[in-house]
Amino acid sequence: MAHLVQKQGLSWSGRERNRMFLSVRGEQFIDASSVTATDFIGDARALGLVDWDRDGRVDMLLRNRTAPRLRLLRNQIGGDRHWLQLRLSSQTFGVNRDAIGARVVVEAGGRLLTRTVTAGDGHLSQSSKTLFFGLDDATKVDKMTVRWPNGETQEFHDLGVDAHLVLQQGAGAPSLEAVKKVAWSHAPQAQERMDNGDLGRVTVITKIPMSEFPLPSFENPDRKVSDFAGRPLLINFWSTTCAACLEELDAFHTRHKKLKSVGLQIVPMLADGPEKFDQAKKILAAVNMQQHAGVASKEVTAGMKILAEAVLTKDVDMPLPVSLLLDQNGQLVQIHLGAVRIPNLLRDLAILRRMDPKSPSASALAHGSRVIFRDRDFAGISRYFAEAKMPELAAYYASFIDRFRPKSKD
Amino acid sequence: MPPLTWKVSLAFFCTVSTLFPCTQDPQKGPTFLTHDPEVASGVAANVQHVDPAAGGWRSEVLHDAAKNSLKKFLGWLIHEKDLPSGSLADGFTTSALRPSHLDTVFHDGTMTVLHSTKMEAHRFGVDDIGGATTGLRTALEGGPVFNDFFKFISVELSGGNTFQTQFIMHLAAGEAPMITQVNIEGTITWLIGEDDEHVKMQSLEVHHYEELISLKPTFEDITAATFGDTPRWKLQMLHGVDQYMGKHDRLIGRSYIGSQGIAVGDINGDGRDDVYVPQQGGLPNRLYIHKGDHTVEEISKAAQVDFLDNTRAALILDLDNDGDQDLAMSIGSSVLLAFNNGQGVFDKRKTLRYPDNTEVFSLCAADPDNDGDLDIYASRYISGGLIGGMPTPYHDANNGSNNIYWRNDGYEWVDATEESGLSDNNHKFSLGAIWEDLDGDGDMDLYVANDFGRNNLYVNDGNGHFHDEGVARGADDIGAAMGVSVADANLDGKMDILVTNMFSSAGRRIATQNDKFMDGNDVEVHKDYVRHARGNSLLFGGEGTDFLDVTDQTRIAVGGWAWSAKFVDFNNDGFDDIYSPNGFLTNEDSQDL
Repeated sequence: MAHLVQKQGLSWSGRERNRMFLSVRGEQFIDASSVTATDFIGDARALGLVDWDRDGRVDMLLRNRTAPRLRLLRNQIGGDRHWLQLRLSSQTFGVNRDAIGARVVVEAGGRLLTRTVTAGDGHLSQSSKTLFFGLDDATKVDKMTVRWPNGETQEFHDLGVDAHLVLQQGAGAPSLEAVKKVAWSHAPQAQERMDNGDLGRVTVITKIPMSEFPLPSFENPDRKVSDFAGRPLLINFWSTTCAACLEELDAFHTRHKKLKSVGLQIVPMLADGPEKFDQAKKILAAVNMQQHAGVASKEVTAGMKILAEAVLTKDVDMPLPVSLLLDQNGQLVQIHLGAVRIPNLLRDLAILRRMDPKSPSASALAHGSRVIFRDRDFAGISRYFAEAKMPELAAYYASFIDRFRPKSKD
Repeated sequence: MPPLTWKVSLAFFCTVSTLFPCTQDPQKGPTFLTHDPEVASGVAANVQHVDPAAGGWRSEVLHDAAKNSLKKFLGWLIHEKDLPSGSLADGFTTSALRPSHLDTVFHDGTMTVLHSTKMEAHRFGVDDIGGATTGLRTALEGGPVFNDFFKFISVELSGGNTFQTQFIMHLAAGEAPMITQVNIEGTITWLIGEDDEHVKMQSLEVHHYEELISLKPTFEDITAATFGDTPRWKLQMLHGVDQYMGKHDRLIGRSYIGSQGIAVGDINGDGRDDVYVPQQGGLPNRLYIHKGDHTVEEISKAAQVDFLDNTRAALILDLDNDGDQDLAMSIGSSVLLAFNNGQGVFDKRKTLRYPDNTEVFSLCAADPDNDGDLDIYASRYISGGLIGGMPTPYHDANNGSNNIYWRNDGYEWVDATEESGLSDNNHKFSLGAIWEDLDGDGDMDLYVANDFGRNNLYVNDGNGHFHDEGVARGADDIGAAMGVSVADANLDGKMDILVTNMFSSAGRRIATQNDKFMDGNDVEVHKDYVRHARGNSLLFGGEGTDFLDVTDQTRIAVGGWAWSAKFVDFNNDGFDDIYSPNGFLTNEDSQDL
């Protein structure tokens, strides 16, 4: 089933609407999802409660699997019900500073309201450590009892309502928090799911060396990636019959000065057979891209696919154009599925210039860092090249197996 | 498998098969249930009792026919299309879809709720069916219908040529500011025609009706104004996990289920809560600082917490008692602690790693041993791969992964699961947990929400030693739990437990087929299966320290395929309401298994 869901794009309990249940005196709950405007469709996962705009009403931060992956829902309910918020802390020896575990009972309007300071609940969620009390029509808090995590209790009487209070263990009465309400004047706006157009740029988190990878040109069948060492390289797989490829070549041509000035070498690799060579050369000449042009033989295309599958997934669907971005040391750092967007490419080249070419990590191109470094499965890559009858590349990738493991003395 | 078979087994499989790809060797790529004959046979062993083809699930064939027929009926009712001739049986009768007498059950100036729980005696027939719908149509005439939810939750074969279905229907109409929502439950009796695929409606009875009118929507979506201008917001947050499939380096650990959570806390100590957002493998985790106006600043890089590793849960809290807020997060099979240096840089780190490769899901922290610092409980799900790891027995599995209680001993963090007694019944498929004083004796107890079985209520003896009293105290709530929330929902001074569970209408229909389901054999096990698809559960703190299941009378079950249902008093009336975020896997194709 999982196969059907993932590969064929079917849904499984998908498009469900989130549900809000209104409590009627804690005796029964009534579905109020639509009237509260919380009936979002999608795959929700986690929920954090917070008074974001500090108006005393609980707002919600919602996390989804589907886009938008994050929603901030501002509670703007009307009515004139009263409320109290309390943030606890402790500097008492033997008590955690966040006062997690403290239990607060608020007596107001003849009711007892009980809350505990917690950290982590629901599924993958943590709400604010501020405690929220809904006081209904009570205009004062008769009594507030705080039982601190070490068992010590404090009582406070006759507190005002509609207040954000802070209280430190043992340090006297609660005081008003000085933080102001957030002025809110912005119209709510739906967050629309974006199309997939921007997702074609895949960072190769741990770089893959490609120096020995063949890049035969029309004249020189022995040309390799290492012949381009010293400057970043974009290997662009294209076909004369692919309109998007031709548009892309045109875009490279339009921006060629800029691309050259940042040191990029572009190698268009033709994926068509010899019968198209003449036509291809004419096209390349027209966009002034013939200098580094090459021919993607079956072997080269198969090799590219092996590397792409090592990064993406088995049996990856790769309609042309496809481009590989390599750093100045001939290491694969990015795969472009579909046409390269030149402004993105220029930004990435600027990041590439600041990266350490000796580091195996390309995390910076994904705008983040790694906690756990994991090297490529070069044994697997080598095996795939061997199976594809490319013994030189099989041997080349085998040489990287355990490359960072300390070598034994013998 | 024929479509019917998917539907039934899917309802029972919950998450295990698709969670699995996250846990394996990233170089090999995902191996799914149906790819591997060995796995498939293991699955077959688990589902043989719920295979509709083998069991001859006539009820599901009838369900599909009834659903098609009702769709047309609703098209007529809501969208004023023609009612197809022959869709109603001769002698068809119906009660009014909106009862003529409604009581006000809730009214507060922001929202009015009317309801009726009685079945009305008056019946309309084919000739005056319009009269049965007038009231409902009038209630909904404030604007276009924007929500028309409909499910059959049971199919009862009554012998002969008729069968009955119980249904739930939600309709919402209107335009801001005024919205009307109608919730209807009832029974439809169907007449079977020339074969099981042709059915006619014989009678329709509404026995529960709720009508909600709000003067304005309670919540408004302010995400765009707050977060929309932060760098790469659209790229990272306006594309779903579904869209990112196959667009990330597989080396980094991928997410298909989209199990990424959220942490709220005041990172910089300015009195305003900030947000840490864990992200799927390949996207950097985000740290958004509340700027005090209506916007945020994204500072994860400067704070050194922009991790690309697949991250699930996170907590914002002071782990080292130095007065600033630190971070804990579940990354792969580890719990990563990142300590704040006081200037908002989390450059000192510690990894809590249990010696296996089982992934960590939810985290929760408290000081259950009262030594003045915070300990962390890490929930884990499946171990041993799919073959050894399939939940067994399905309805009460005890072969999940062990959860870890990481005790903070100052400079050392110790796996204290065994010595604290939390190793008791610790082989469940856990997806969430909470530290709370659930028995009111002043110490932190632990409730653990488990998929495929019973939940744990670990009662603290006051010294940080625990005993699982879930079953003894009526709090085990056997089912398909994903999370837990605690509050005093009925204001009796005792804490109540809300368990997020799976509601599956298909699961409910199938499991309630007494004669067919599991050949009608084991009555007790059968009950557990029915329970498995019932939905969210509410357990009131009852007499003594026992818990009482009040799910049915409080009517909170139908929360969808829910993940993180929580108590939230959105209207400040003192009574906690419940929000149930839900949905499992939405993909491009709208056809739902």
